Amino acid sequence: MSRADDVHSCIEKTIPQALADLNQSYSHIEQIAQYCKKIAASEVFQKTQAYIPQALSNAAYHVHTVGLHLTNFLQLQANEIDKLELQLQVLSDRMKAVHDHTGSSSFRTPEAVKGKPRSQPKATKIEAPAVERFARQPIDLAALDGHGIEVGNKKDLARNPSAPTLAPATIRGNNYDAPPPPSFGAPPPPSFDAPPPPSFGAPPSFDAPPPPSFGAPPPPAPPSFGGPPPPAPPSFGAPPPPSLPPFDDAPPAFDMAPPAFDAPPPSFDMAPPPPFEEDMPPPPFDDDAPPPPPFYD
Amino acid sequence: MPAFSAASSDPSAADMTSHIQKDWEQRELVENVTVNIKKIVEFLNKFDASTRYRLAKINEQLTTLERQMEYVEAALKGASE
Repeated sequence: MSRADDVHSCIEKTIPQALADLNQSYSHIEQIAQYCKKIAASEVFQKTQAYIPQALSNAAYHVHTVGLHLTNFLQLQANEIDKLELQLQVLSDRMKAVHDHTGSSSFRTPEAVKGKPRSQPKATKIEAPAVERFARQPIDLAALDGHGIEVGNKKDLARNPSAPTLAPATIRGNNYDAPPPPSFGAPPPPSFDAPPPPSFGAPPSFDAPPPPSFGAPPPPAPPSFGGPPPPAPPSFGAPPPPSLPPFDDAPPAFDMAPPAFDAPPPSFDMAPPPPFEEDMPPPPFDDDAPPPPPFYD
Repeated sequence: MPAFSAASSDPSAADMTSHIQKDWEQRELVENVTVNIKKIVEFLNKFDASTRYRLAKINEQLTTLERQMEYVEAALKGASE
């Protein structure tokens, strides 16, 4: 074949074929462009664009859910492992305790546990100390003699020494010669004008008869300090009371009013009141009863 | 302004402007999708690291438990013999 044949074939066949293909391609491309332009304007393309974010969100949601479930699963596994660890620690501690108690590693039988001897409490008998028997000491009222101030009128006490007094009439710190204490052992002399003895807590005798009426009040107290006797009270038709014996040692009046005792005057037939004594029985209220025995010797 | 007025007056220029606007909107959509996919991938990577850490911790605990269990079993076996 010659070169002329080659050129002729190219001109007649190859180039016209190539141009035809190109023209066909152009037509095809134009059709594709038209299709694409048509699709882009259609609803399919718009919906596809809207589906892309939704699909992406769905994928993210599922990934998150799966990850959350996996995390929970791992956390539960960790909790179970913690429980197992604690149980195993308990077992280890129990085994260690048994080992420490028995001294060996054998705790198969209950006899393996060795009982440690315990100290028995000693029964110590307590010796009670000897207790002295209580013995009551009698009350010594004389111990109070010479203390305190006598309550009551000294004059009356001096006149009626049988009156129960707990202490002699002594006033300390004063230039006063106290008379001797009344003798309780001597029988009380009868006195008609002496006031009733002071009742030291003892109730007055309401059974006694009323005092005799002399028709005149009792004479006033004798003068103190050896002064002249006071004038006799005026007589109201009644005989004057017997004069008082001289009583130079009478206590001063001390500007005090005579004690006003509510008790009635003593009866002439009645025995003097007994001395104040707790242990002595009360004297019988009998007119014929003898006077109480002397208490102070 | 003269160009805009010319484009608005020219129908071919207005068509080109709408095409450019749609092209930018499509690019914005693609960019959003890409960013979200990257976020998902980042989450997956973090989740992978966290899961690996948890698994490693559980593995360590299991190893400790296995050792303790072996010790207890050995002690019990020695006590029973």
